[in-house]
Amino acid sequence: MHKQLMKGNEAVVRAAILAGCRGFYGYPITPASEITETAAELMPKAGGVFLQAESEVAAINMLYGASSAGVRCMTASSGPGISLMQEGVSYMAGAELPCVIADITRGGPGLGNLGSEQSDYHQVVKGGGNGSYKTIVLAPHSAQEMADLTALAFELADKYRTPVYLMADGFIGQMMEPVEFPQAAVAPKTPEWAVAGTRETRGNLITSLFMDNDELEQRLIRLQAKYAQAEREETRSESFYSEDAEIVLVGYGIVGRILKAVTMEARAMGLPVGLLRPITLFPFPKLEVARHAKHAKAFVVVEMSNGQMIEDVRLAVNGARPVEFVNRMGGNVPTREQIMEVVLRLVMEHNVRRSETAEEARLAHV
Amino acid sequence: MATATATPTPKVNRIGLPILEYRGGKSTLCAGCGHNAISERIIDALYEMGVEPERVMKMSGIGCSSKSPAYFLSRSHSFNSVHGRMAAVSTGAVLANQQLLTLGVSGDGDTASIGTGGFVHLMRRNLPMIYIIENNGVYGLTKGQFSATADIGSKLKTGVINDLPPIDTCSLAIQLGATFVGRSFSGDKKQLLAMLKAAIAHKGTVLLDVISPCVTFNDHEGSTKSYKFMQEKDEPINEVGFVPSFEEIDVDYDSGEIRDITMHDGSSLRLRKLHEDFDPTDKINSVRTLMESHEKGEVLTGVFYIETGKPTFIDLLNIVDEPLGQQLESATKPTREIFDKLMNNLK
Repeated sequence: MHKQLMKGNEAVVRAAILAGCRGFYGYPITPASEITETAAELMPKAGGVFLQAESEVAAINMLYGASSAGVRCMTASSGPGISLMQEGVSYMAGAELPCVIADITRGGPGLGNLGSEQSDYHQVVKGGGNGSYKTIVLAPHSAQEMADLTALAFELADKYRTPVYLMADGFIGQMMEPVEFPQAAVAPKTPEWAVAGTRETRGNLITSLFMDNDELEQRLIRLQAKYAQAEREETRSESFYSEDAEIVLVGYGIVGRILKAVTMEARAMGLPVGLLRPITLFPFPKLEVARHAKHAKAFVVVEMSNGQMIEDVRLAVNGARPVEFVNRMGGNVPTREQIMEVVLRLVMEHNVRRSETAEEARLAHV
Repeated sequence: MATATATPTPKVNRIGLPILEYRGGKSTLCAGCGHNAISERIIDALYEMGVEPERVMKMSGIGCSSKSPAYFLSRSHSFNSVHGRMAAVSTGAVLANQQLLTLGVSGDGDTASIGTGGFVHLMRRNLPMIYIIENNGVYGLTKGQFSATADIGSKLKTGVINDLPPIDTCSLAIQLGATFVGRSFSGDKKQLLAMLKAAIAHKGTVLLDVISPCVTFNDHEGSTKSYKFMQEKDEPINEVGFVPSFEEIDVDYDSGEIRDITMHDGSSLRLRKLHEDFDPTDKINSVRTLMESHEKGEVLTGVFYIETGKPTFIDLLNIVDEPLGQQLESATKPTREIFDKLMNNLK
């Protein structure tokens, strides 16, 4: 299939349909509205359902219903709308129901603004609703990954019977890049656990309510086992010149793109700087971070928030190395210069070696 | 003796303020947006009624409509709240300070979808406030999706046709207990101004649904919330006049066609009958008339329902007149003498 130029938001819907998604329930909000708009246009053509809900609370509960009936379904929103959906996400996690939620993040808290932030990390990656649950969270950094990770999100949602988030900042949702889609489409099929109105599924029970303490505890133990399995099998990250790096940059989403530029600039100067970009935020690539701590002298975490992912990096580094923080908030973006300044200071403080020849030669191949 | 440099005295209202003192910031809405005209009428109404700007509490939710309180009454208190939550936030604020005149501006998206739950409960409580819906049938801020007040058959610019029935906020409000319910059009200066002035004089929940065309996303051929559609289909049920308590009522009218309703503050709402058999104090009649007009494809405007004697939520709660946040310690803390007496009783 040839590459097509489109917004990341549009790529999400096309990938979702190819992944067998046949239900979209949403409510418009900037900067996620193109997902809803595209779904309104394409979902009926694919024989699926599109519905503009009366609120985000309604939208997530429509997923609760659709997913129970065994339909691959999704919604899309942004920070304020995701806050409203947390009740439904908690119920779906408790009832072990798959769905995909695209969170195209914006400024907060409250109404915030329409600029891009990464300040939904806590409410999305750490649960957000009530109860001992987690959701799998995928963090694309390009329009292509918006498509690829949407497909993966549906796969993981079904495999683990859990809500899965695709969390991208407004930039990734809004910018246009060439995108290539898979040749084959996944055919929708009803899972055996669903309540599909058939003789076979009549006995199935989908619930998050367990009045008996021990029964609820058993459900919770099962959920934790699933999360542990996801940590073993689904953790994904990208290492970009980080294998021999003494300064390791950590950032996801649009920040990952900026950090690639910083890495290239540092490498051109002969500095052993590299990027570790988490692609799954839960499960967080903590083993990768710990492995990098063996050769790194310092970490630099860059976020467009008050510092939310940095908590996970610090847990993984576990005090072995200093973890510096660079950020901007309110819709502002950290600049290459701002990050480079910190990198150069760390180079001085930690006597980082500068290679004059080897790295330059390596760069020539990039 | 007047000097040559004396500037002319600006015209002032009955509390000595020029209209300038009722203005707000420069509108950032589209040129020609109905919401701007409504802001102008709100300014006129409060100026003409001589309401002290500091005595007004402006409330709003989220949407183009909810931005508009920034464009009138800069001197007032203002709360731009949460999407769909203007009703709840207003309830909290009004109960905390019942001495302010509460004027809420919401939209059809903010009220009739995400805010429906809050809206219906505000109406049934008869909380004293003016609730204005700037109704254009679309979500403007997210680029023109249908709202829940869009009529069946109404067409978007993209050609998409709405196939769901609209929520009639006026019928809902009448059924649920609001005590002053009407609909107007942002383009009808005279009617809207009279209704706003009467709303200021009313004690209880006022619901004004004001059709306010969105020039960017819903003013084309095929839209049922366009200027053109309103010019053709606007069907006033009555001619609304208002005589404030501080002005004399002139008697130059044919009393048979006019119904004078005395408002809480002594003002007079004068409704000239334009439709046979319409009685704005009869709920069932009003709702039926609204439903019938909808069947005919008309947009009925005017005062649909008015009830002046009903207790408000403040009356029902029997709370003190002074704002709760401004109670003096002497009013809330028992004296030593009373406290000792209480303690002695417990011995």
